[in-house]
Amino acid sequence: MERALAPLAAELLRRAGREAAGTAARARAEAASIDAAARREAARVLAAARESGRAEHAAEAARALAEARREGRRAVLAAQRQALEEFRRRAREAAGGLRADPGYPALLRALTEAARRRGGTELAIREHPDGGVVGEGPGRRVDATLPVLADRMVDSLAGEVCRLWLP
Amino acid sequence: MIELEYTDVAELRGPLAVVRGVAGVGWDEFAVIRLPGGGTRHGLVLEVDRDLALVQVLEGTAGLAPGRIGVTFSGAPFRVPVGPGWLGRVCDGLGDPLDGGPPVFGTATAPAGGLPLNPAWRLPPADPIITGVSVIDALTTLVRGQKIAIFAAPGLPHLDLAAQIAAQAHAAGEPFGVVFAAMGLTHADASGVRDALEARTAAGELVLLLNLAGDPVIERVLTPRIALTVAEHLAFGLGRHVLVVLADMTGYCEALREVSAARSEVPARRAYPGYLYSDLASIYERCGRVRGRPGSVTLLPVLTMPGGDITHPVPDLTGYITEGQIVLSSEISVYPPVDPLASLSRLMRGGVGAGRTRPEHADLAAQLIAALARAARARELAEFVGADALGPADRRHLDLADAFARDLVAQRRDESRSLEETFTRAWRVLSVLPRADLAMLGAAALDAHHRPAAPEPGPQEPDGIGTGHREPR
Repeated sequence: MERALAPLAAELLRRAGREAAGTAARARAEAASIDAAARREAARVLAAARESGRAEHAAEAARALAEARREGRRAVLAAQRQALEEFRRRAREAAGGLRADPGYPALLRALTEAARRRGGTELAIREHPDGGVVGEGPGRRVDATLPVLADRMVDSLAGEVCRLWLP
Repeated sequence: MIELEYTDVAELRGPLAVVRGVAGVGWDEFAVIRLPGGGTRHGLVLEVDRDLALVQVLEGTAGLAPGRIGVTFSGAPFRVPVGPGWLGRVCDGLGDPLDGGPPVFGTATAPAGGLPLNPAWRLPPADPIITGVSVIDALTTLVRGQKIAIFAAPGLPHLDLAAQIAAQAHAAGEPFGVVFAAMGLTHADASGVRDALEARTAAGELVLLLNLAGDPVIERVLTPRIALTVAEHLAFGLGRHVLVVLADMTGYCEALREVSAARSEVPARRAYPGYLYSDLASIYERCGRVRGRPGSVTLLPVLTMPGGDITHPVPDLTGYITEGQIVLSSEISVYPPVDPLASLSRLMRGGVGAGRTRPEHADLAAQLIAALARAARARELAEFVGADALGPADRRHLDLADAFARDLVAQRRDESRSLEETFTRAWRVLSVLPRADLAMLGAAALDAHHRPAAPEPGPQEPDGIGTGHREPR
């Protein structure tokens, strides 16, 4: 009986062996493929991390550069503003200085006339301590003081003022 | 030189002041309101009736008291100094400096409302503006003199994209400038925009007007007009090609709605004033080219669509006026999230082609759009039948869509791509498809640029969509 079954057992054994070998081969292949995929993924993650590090560094450098540029520009603009303010201050001072000018009474008369023309004949005009005149009437006011007129003159120079800081 | 100040303010209500006893004052005149401490505010005349003038105070009337303020009328509508002095400056929404510098002085002044232009002097938009953003340069090219809007749902990086375009755009070596008007921005957003544009500001090629979310809304109504007035002079007076970026126009329209409500005007759709369309047109139509003048004004308004609703009055009316749109979509996972199938530059043909960009540009853009449309259909189909059931042609198109997003669209926020690089990438994307699939491109262009990665498959299967054919194993 046993002898009769021996070929069958041998065949079963051979098949089992073949199947085991196949399974082992498949498992090896699968392991190799998983390993390769894991390596690829690791390489990708590493590359992404490197890229993100580089990008972060570049972004940080760009921020620092932007800040430095902004500071530089701020300094230039602040200097221009100071130059303009100084120019305005000197213009006001020079206008105030007209009070000591021998022609000041004539100037006052001219300003009074101009103020009346602008604001109407009913304006009450008086001389201002800063020089020039102020006119006030019902619901109206005209300011023709010397510092204010100097300011308006500077404003009206518009583009000419830029020559203060242009080479 | 001597100014007449009216001191009889009869009433202050909301943003409005009623001045009594005025003479010779006209509608839309610009006014300066002097405060007792020496400060000033600004206003516009809304209405004049005999000796009464109704003045809208731009900064609001809070803290003002009748009898303690004076109002001076300028005798003309609001005028803006114009000239090269604007370049390199950062100002608020009314053009007052925010950068610590002196006030901007111009060589002349111009009305902020703009001068009407004889239609016969207008030239159709032509020649491209290169933005350095691949997906825009390749598929929705900006054309000089065009108006094209960026539409975005809230939460998308529309400001980043607008700032990137403003920082990078150029006109292929011709004199170029950018006017960036930011309206209703938060401090954080404004700071981001300033950083992105710093280099260009320092180079004296950019004007930045910043109206922040906390600034008076009425100021916001003037900001785009000031930006355009400055731009028109830089373009038609000084011969520059000027790109005007208005971000965000939804903020502008909301300001207009608030001002309209304060004036007790009859509200129309979603409480926006009935004249919203003509108001938007009065802004958008100020771009273009003028016969005999070398420069151009190109307009790029940015709009957030409340709730992502493209039928909202602001994007809806904008879409009627502008010549195309660049639509950002949350469906796109890369930056910039431009949806190529929803975006269109209607005047693109006037700006691309031989001598402008590349001879095959228009065909290449059409082919890419056609292929992406087919990929979108294939993707929908795959949702029903599964990706395995798609035919090889459909699968190739899905591969193309992936390559398109990865290779052409995806771009860093600080990355400016040359036209050459954009075309190299676009051809690499199209080379995913075999030559037989690229029927819109000429043989010469295909010979020169089509480089398929793998050998082309043998006999092509019929290109029916959704045939569900499996590839032979």
